[in-house]
Amino acid sequence: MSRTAPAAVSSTATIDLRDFFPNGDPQPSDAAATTEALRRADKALAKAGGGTLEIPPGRWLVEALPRDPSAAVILRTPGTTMRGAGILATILALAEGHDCHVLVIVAPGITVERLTIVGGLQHQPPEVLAGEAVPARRSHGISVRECPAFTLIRDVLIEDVVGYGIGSIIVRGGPKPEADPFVHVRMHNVTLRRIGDDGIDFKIDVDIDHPDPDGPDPARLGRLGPRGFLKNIAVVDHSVLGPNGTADRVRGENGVDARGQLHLQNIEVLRVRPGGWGKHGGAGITFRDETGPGGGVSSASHGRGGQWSTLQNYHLTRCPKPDYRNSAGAGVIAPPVLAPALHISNGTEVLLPGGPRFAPLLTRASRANDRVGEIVRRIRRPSVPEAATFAEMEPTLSKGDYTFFDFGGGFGASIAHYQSAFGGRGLGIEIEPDKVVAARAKGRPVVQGSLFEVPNRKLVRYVTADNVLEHLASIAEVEDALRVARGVADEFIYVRHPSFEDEDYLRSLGLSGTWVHRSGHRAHVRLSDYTAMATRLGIDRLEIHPVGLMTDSTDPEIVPLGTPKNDLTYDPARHASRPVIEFDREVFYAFDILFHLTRRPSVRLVYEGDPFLDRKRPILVREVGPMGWPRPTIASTTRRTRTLAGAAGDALPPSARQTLVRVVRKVR
Amino acid sequence: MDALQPSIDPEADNQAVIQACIDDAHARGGGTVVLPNGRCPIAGPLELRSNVTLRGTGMITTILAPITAPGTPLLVATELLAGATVEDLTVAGLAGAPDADATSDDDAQARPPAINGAAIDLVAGASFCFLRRLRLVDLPGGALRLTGGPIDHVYLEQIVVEGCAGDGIVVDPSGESTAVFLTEVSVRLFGRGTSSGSAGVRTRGRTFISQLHVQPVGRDACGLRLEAGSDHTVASNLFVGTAGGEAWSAEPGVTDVEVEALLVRDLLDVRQEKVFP
Repeated sequence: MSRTAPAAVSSTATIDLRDFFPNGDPQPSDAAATTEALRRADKALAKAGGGTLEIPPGRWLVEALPRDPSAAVILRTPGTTMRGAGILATILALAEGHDCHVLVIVAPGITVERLTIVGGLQHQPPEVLAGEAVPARRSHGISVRECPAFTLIRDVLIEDVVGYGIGSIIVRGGPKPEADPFVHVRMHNVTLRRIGDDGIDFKIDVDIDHPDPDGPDPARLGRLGPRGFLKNIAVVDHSVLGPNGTADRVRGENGVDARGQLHLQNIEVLRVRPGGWGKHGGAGITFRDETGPGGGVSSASHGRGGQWSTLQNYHLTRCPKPDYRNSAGAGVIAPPVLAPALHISNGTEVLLPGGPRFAPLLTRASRANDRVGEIVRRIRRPSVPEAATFAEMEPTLSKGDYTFFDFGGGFGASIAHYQSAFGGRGLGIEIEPDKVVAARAKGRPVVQGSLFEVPNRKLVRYVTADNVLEHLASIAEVEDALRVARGVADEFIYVRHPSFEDEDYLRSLGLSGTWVHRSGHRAHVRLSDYTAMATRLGIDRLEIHPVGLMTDSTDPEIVPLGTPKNDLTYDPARHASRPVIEFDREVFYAFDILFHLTRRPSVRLVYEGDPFLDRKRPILVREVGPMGWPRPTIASTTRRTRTLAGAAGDALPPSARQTLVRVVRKVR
Repeated sequence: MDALQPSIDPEADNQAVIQACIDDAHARGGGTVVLPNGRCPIAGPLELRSNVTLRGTGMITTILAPITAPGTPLLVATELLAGATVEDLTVAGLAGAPDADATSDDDAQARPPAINGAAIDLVAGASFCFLRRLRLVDLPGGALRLTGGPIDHVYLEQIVVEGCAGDGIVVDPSGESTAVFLTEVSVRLFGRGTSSGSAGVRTRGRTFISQLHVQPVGRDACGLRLEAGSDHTVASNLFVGTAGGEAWSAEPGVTDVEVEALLVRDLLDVRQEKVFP
């Protein structure tokens, strides 16, 4: 047998780390010598204008550079490949007593492949590992900075890192002549495990308040943003260190923290940590929203949100929340303002066993997002179905034709709202023919029919009933309506319902609420009725969000008893006098009730303002499952197909159309 | 870094010389064994070792083939394989030219009897392994199988199967599997001459699948088969050409599987042929 150089190197120069040891004696355990050898090799590559640095098998210890103690190894020449002998064969490990980035990449066009990188997590003091103290520094496994572009990290394992596994995309000194920053950053086949902070973090780190006069224009960087391709990424145990020194071992860090335009495929994040008291937990994959006008730089977005990114094929497991006050780790976080500018699909998510089961829970809704991004929502125009009545179209309806049914569609306003706020394609079912005619005249998809004509087969993902159920004849009929909704929907039922909780209390004060006594409000269903119904219907998870808090009787919708039923605001000129009474309890205007039909909630409600003040309808945030598709079960997945769109599909006979199928990407 | 390059005799058995290089690289803590252009006949299977890369010069230029007993697996690992790579070569089942009969499904006489196992057979689990840019042709058994141990962080990429008996690719971990990726894989002419119930890809572990092409799926066969243990598998961008078989199916009880962007072609439907020849 003979020995040759390995095939296919990208540059003419291929060098071997062992040839750069200062004393000519390569010993992997000699951290000072190895670090110096790597520094000399980097110099040689700079001289050669790039090339391949091969690192033989072994656990090579490295330490902080004497001249730059923030890093152990620096690669600074475009066109450089650092290649190990195999993902587990070559290991670059931080020596004990050192606390710095293991590998820093400061130039575009650098490849790192086939090796393991080990940070200093295991060398942290016991109190840090126990979550009782802050680590002195949060150094990274691989830190890509100055000009991240054309960077390729593949077939790499990164473990035991205090800070980010890969990250802190920092730009200093302006775009390089070789490349605009952030173009084509690729990570393929990368595993990160036991990471203190984020697994992979993308950010732009420029101080907007004190920009470097010689540096890049922050606003321009904001528009550039990282453009990355991440494929086959596994993150196991990130966010493992305590939050800035507090005692609970929680830090809200992300498996992948996505800022900038990223294409992610095949992403696995295991064991996302729960939050501690009052702390949000970790997250699997977070798409940051963009804050600041024009993509300006802020601490949250670091200059660039995650809009116009795609995520396909992911699997996440989340640790259970320790108790009900705490937060379970999040799965995929996509702020609602980004929703129209993200494509997220085909994921599965597991809440690891061990946590308490959810009980019916009265929560104040989160004010997760009250910022409005500069994103134009693309709302597909609804189309009016040919059939004018539900009875007429029911026999030909199949699953997927509509995303949701809006019970009591009225003039179609709620359809339009929920199509944009909840997503998907809706069909309103309205019993009053003249409302149907008016809605259809406005181009809204409403058909005439009773909600009790809706068949007991799964046709839609969800059902909405916005101020509708109280118009039914009785509480028993409301339960029947919920049963119908449960029969037809896969995921959840959303009900906006006026509050009848304090009807008796208000009456005892000589008062009423306009929403209580309004004509046509026949079924005064209270929350206890709803929870009892849910129990009888086998729905064991419902969420109740109170809306419109009133603290005293001066609210315009509080009127004296005896006020005509359809006078909807108090008018002192016409109505009897109204005592000013401070309520001794929280009186709400309405409730948003979400009945989850899935084993775990797939969605949550988010209010853009404060729901206690402005009574606006919420928008829906999909926590798990694909953004535009029904969360599929096996049964639904096989049917989750559409005939080929367009002329080609239409030209086929119906039988061929059924076999020639594909799932068309859903564009919201 | 030195790569080991065994001198190959295209007319004789090279099993011992290649195996010696693999063992040598393994003994050094890892390394690369490069096989040259052309045929590399071997009389028995090569044992893959942890931290060793076995690399040819290209998917169609280096051809590993049996010299005598065509039924034998060609690459095996009987111990847990960690950090190993096999890339850039063809594994051919028939002792003759690898191209012979590769695309003809008619002549059953030319094919050797089916065997159990697979041409690449990792039977004690795999961890941090890369099997990529491989062409697996005319195999008397399955093409590629991972079984018998934990399977984690395994990357099956850019694999072409052209003709095998039984299943094309099998992922069958004992216990849970994590981070198993199967991307850019095509399986054509699997299950030849043998069995009913074969699958282009069969997995019993959680698997990430993207850009998979399987064709043709005969009656009683299945393009992608998800079996017990494959809960939470996600698959997207699939093409399956069926000739009476199922594009994909999941064993009852398998939950939370997501399949997206599935394109199914019915090879028996002549009308499709007219529209999309």
